[in-house]
Amino acid sequence: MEEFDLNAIWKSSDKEASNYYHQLESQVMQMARQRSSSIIQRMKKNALIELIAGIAMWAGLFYFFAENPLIGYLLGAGVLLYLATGYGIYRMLKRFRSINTKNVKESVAGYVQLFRKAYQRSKILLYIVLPIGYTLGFMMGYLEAGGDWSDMASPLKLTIIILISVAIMAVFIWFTTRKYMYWMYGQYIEELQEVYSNLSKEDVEEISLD
Amino acid sequence: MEETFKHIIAKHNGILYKIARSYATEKVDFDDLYQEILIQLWNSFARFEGKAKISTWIYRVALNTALTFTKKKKRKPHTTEVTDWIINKADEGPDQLVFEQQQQQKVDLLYHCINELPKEERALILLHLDGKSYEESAEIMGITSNYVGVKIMRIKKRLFKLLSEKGYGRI
Repeated sequence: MEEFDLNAIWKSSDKEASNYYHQLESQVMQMARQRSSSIIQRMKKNALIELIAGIAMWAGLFYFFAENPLIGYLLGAGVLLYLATGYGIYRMLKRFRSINTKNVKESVAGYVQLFRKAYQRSKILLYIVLPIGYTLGFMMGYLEAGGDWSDMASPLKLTIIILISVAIMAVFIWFTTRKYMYWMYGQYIEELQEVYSNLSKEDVEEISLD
Repeated sequence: MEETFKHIIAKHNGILYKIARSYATEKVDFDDLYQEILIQLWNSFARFEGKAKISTWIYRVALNTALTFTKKKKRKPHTTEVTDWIINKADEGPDQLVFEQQQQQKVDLLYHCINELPKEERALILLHLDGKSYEESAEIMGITSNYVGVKIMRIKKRLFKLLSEKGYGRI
């Protein structure tokens, strides 16, 4: 097969391109103004959904457990969590805007670095916060169901309950969070990393050719 | 600004179309990717300073978008069907129709094989097939022109092998 064949075939898809464009010519601006569905937009959307769902959950907790003696801890943990998450998202978006788009390799490197950091931070945050949150919830539920605070306050018993709860939750959350985060973002970051690695092989390959 | 943008897209729509087809295996993903490229081009149009050629800017934005493009949801695996892409040919004569269909099959097969290459290789081969010099491709991709040359040779070999395996000679 000669190369001109390939070029001729490639050229012949210009007609397809032109036909396709004519079908949507009148809608070009309308299409261009639509909301983006890129990975960064999806990360933003997911963060927003998690934020709204979180606020709804906290509001529910405050409504039902307003009298609970542990509500102060929950409030503190919630505020810390939202401050940490909000700051993380703010920094990620700021860095995203400053990614160098001078060429494809630099852009991909920027995306990989940014997404990987955000991915690792989110995972660590979820690994730490979720077991503590669930344990607090468990303790609050125990008290609401008529559990005796003086029993809970016994240092040894309280420590054992907390340690067992955190350990069980941590294993469960570690497993589910890892799977969920990989499915949502990890696989795409790996794919980008591979693109970047292949584009970066040039130095090694050029040296080996000499 | 809108009119200028529309004029640019009309002139360079082939770049958008070919990149979207090289990175999307299904028609529905192709439509999504084509639109996503349009959105990203429009969003960055105001920041385009004219330091590079318009086509270079379009390649950069479109390739960045294609490389970070992810499907919205998982669908059943499906290879591109010739009929998915055939444009209206109802009023053409039988001989012309057969020729057009063969051409169409070749185009589909070429895109199908390009789709099987790693993402960065798709970018390099489509730049090459679009007639970009090694220097221009190197500038767009951010690698050296020597490396572009080495890579293009390897990609073409692999592409020819894929095309032969998939029956290009029998069309």
